[in-house]
Amino acid sequence: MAKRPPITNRVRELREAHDQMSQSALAKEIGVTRQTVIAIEQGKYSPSLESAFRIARVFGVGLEDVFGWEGD
Amino acid sequence: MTMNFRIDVTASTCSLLAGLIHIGAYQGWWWTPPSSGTDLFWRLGGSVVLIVIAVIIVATVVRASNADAPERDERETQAGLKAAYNTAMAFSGGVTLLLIYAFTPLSPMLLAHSLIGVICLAELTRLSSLLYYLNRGL
Repeated sequence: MAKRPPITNRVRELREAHDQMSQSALAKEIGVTRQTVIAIEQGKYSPSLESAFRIARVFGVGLEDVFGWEGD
Repeated sequence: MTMNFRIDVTASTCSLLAGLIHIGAYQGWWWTPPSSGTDLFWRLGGSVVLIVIAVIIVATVVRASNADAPERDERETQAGLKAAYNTAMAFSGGVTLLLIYAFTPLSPMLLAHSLIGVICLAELTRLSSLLYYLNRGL
């Protein structure tokens, strides 16, 4: 398996806390496919800086409230 | 998946299948070997037409059923670039092999089908790379 990126995220937690938003709805908001949202939540893929900011804006939180560095 | 990605995969899959059909025909496994270069030309031309039709059908169906999908996706783009690199390596290796044997008594028909084989290898490398990078991570 490819090495996992050293970036953690709380996307799934925030999405479920945001009125149980679906993966499809989040994907549509940030302009990616549902498969990409799944990969982000599973830690298999680190989104681009633009997508990371879009995710944070959807949830109304800061970037560091969504993403973190492994080990921090 | 984006529509572009689905169309791309359809085109690669159809190309691979067409290549395998032509190689199988040349080997005598099915159909008949091409009788001449002109015969091969028309067979390959027919394959191209069928591939284009298949792509149009898939595009129409996907557009109708997947209207909400984005035009592009960053993960698919990255996977596509990595797969394209692997494809280029496979293609280069195959063509290099052909060049090594260029001055041995290869018949034009064998040379043409060897090149089809190289293209099949490249498409197989591309499809398997896409599958790997999208499922296992970038």
